[in-house]
Amino acid sequence: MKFRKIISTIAAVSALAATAAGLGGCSLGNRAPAVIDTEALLKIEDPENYVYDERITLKIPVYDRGQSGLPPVTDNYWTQLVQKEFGDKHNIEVKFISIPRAGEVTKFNQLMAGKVKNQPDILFHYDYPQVITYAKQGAFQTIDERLIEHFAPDYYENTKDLEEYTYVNGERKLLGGTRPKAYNFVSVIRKDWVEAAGYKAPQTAEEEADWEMTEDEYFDMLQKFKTMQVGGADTIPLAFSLPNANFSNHGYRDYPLTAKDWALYADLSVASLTWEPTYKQLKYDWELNQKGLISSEWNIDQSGDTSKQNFVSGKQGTYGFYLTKSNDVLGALTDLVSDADVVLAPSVKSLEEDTGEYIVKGGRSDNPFGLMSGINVHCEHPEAVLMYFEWLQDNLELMQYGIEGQNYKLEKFTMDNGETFDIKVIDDSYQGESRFNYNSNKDMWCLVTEGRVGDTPDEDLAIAIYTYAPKGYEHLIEANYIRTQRGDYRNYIDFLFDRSIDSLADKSATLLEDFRQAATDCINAKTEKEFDDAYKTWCKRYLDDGYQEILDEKTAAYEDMKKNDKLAEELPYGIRPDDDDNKRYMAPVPEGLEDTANSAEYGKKD
Amino acid sequence: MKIQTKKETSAKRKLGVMFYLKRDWQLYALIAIPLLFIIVFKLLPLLGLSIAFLDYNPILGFSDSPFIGFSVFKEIFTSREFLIALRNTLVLNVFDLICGFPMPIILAILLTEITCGWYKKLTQTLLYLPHFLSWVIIAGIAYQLFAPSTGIINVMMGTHIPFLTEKWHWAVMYILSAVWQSMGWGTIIYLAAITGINGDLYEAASIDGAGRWKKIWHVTLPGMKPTIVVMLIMALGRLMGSNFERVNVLSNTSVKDFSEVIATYVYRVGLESNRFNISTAVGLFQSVVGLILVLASDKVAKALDEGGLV
Repeated sequence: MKFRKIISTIAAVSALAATAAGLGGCSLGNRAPAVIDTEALLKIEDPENYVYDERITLKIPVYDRGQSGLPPVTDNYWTQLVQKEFGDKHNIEVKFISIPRAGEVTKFNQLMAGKVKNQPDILFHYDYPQVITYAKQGAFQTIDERLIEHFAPDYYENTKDLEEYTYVNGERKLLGGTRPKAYNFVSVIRKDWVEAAGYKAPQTAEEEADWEMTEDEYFDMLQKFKTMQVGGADTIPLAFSLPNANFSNHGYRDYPLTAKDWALYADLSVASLTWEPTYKQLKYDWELNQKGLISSEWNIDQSGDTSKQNFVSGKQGTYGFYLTKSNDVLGALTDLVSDADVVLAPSVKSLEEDTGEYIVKGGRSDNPFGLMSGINVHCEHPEAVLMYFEWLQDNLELMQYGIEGQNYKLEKFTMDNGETFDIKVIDDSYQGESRFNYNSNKDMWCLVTEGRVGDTPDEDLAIAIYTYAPKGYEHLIEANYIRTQRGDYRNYIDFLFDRSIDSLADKSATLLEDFRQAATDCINAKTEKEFDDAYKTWCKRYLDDGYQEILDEKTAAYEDMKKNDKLAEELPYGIRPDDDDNKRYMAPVPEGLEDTANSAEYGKKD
Repeated sequence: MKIQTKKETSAKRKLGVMFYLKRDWQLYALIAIPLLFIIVFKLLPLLGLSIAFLDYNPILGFSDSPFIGFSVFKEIFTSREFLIALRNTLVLNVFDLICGFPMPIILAILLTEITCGWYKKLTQTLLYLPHFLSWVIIAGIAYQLFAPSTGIINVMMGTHIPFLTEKWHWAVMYILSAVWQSMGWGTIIYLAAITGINGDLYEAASIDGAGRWKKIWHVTLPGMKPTIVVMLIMALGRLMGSNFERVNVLSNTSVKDFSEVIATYVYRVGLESNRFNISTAVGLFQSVVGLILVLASDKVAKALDEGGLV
């Protein structure tokens, strides 16, 4: 009896305590923005060795990609290293907050809706419009540029080129990370198929980089794949899957593009269904489908897995993917089809209607920035955030390559010209104490940069090859590197508005769904008339569902930026002023690349 | 005696709440845990319903986000997408009910009619199995079997029937897959109800000359009726709900006109576009309609003298 009484008393007391604790936790606390005394902060001398009198907490979000077999993203060798080398030195407790990579906006919103003491000190996103939305919601404090210069001088210097992207409505709100060019997204084609169809395939990396075909030639080659059944009875010449908002219609765009079209339609967030180039591209894709050059089940392959399986099993002629040393595409292909070989797919030249010439038109260039972060409006120690950015910038090599003999080993690399230098080769198989988090700690150092860079272009190439290329496929990275070096000037980055386009945030998910259905109905249409009818019906529905609203808002924002001289002074190569009807005019081809320009006509004004 | 009783009653009344609290405080404290669960997870979130009436910004929170009244509801009820999602939800659920509701009843009756013990057990086990497969797996199997060109069924028959890529075919597959998945599991409660029927009734029916059909019609079914009514009321309450996982994994762009339901609409607009006020408003609407349906069917059941739920 006594025992029962004791047990029930303990249970009852703990239940009451839990109740009290549960109800007590409902207050969200003070939600006023932090007040920052910039002048006082600027008086701190030698920030690199500054020690806080009282221990402060710095909360840094970090992506959690749910990769199995890796240590937790918030507590591992590298987070402990940050605490030891950076936190303890300044009397800062560095806490990492896990942010699921899928669903990050929801997580950030949840955190921001909760108690201030649980909120991260920075919020970030790779998508520029989303960062602008955060800024507009009031998530970020304004950062005095003098503070960045004072507390993070190396970071400041290194990201000076990104400054124009860090201002929102005239106030500095963002901290950008640099984005060195990456060379590991490759679109490959079966070399043995090309030769079997009677075409000359490139033999060296140099030839591979320069390989060009007109769109008609390319179409013919794909048709030959099909008729000759080079991959068996159910040959699928071209990889094709459900499109996303970044619908690649570059081959049908004007080139150079007017600045207004660039602002309105060349968008990553929403597909420009009603724009003529999109119509033409869809029509082309419809033709591919009519001729059986793409998989008839392309629109139920939402994940792209079937397309990958088709390529790996030797049924499909092309495939685009991120090449890594441990990729599961090329090895599997040669396991199943022993004589299979791949090269980089050719650059396709499109017809320039005005001149009747075929040229390689510019496509989308990566933004010059990677991750964009802003400091939480409630963060009381923005200087500590900046000190962390500076620490990352200064310790980039350690964070990116790890420890010699463990995470990497030095190898001699000899260039074609005989030049030899040491290169750090990451050992992916290392499983010891200091093993990397996902992708060599990338999710930690992405605050300041997106990739590794060498001191010279040659070293860059060597790093790219060593980082990404599996044995025997070095030519893919090398060719891609050369092609990018030579042709990237033609590509243009996205137009970036200096304000949030609200309708875009509200409608883009709906419009993406619409666009996918529209593409399905159009590309799967049985006749040309059915295609045109589907296109027309969908255009109307698309505009009604919010695209008109987006276009109106973008037009107003664009006109306003234009009126207030907020457009970049120099338009990128491939973009012409709105009032310049001379389609032939373009900015001069960068020095040293004149030979690679499409045609002598370009680069000159008539 | 009467006076004594009165005295006792008044004495009891005088003891009041505190007496019982003091005497049984451990019991009251223990019930605090489930009560806390209800408060924290069921009642406190109701405060969040205010989001439906705010231009909600998570950074500003409930208190500082501007009040916008019913404009979110206006936006929803004039939106083409929502109306399509509403139509699809109702139509698919009604068909789910029509096809899915009687199946477990029929199956339960059939099972009880099997007399061979081992065969009955084997059948029951096989029928329960699909319930344990997640929708992701079922959809994977469905696409392997029924894809228009590479699906096993089409390959074997040498046809290109668009089982999953044409909206009418898809709707049938959608309904059938749920019937297949849930009918076996659904029999459990009806089998229990049948077990509860008094055996004497069957005996009496036999003496009266009733055959199998007659016994099913006049004994088994009336015996199951209260259970059927309760299950139907509960099923009607779900008429406005939708199973996100099932629709999401089974649908594709060719059939979106039929497959967009309220759950996928809320996910896309509310969570993907971060318009929390829209998803809250739709959720509120769904719950209110669900509640009305449950109460109405309960009333009808009571009026028909079939008992009820509330």
